[in-house]
Amino acid sequence: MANTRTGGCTVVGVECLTGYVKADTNQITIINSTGDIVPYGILNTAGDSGSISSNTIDIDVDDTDYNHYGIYTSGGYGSINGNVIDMYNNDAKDLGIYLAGGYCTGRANMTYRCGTGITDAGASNDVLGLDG
Amino acid sequence: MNLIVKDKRGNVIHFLRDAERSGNNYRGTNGRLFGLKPDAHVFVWTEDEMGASETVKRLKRGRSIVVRSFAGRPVKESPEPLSKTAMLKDRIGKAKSVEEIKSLLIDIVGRL
Repeated sequence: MANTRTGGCTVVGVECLTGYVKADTNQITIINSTGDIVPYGILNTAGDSGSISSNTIDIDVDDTDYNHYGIYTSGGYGSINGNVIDMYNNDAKDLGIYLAGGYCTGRANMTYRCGTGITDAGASNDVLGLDG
Repeated sequence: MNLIVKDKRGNVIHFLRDAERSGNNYRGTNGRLFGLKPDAHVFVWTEDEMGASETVKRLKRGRSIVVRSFAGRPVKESPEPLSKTAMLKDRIGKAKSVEEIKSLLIDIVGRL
């Protein structure tokens, strides 16, 4: 299903609202060239112990006022594996995976054309990937 | 040494305390960054603390984001700290006498 949003808003592909949620194998595309939107491919602000794996996320947003996130999680003890994230613009605000929680683990995440591939702003996270 | 990462417009994107560089990855005591694109950022190495102001910006749809800006003391920029190998190369390049080279070799052998 395709949704259309205009400028000045947050756009979220998948949002996790509880713990123990699996957000796996989603294909998320957010494209915007006209407004100042804040895109999140996958946003997890509420759930611990979830799984965010094998997602394909394309975010092409020209705005440079706000951060753009492929995956943003402030939950803890999550599993983040095998995601492919392309943010197209190589801008400093293009953040592939942003970890604000703790004790997340993950491997084999691919980030393309991000300003920063993986940002670990939490504690005791062990999430790795390759940046292309 | 602390690292402030800004975008090209001067907005602070990341701040790492006691950061160390390894390629395009940076590790600090308050976080880690992997795969930073050098062309997209301005890197400021400093002994100073961040002294940042954080303001909460409300978005139209009810969400809010924290915007960090560097509004503290002026930053004394420093050259990027050299790795151990680069420090040795630097010393080799600057050595002017046999004695200096001898002491350098002793240092290298002592580390093996």
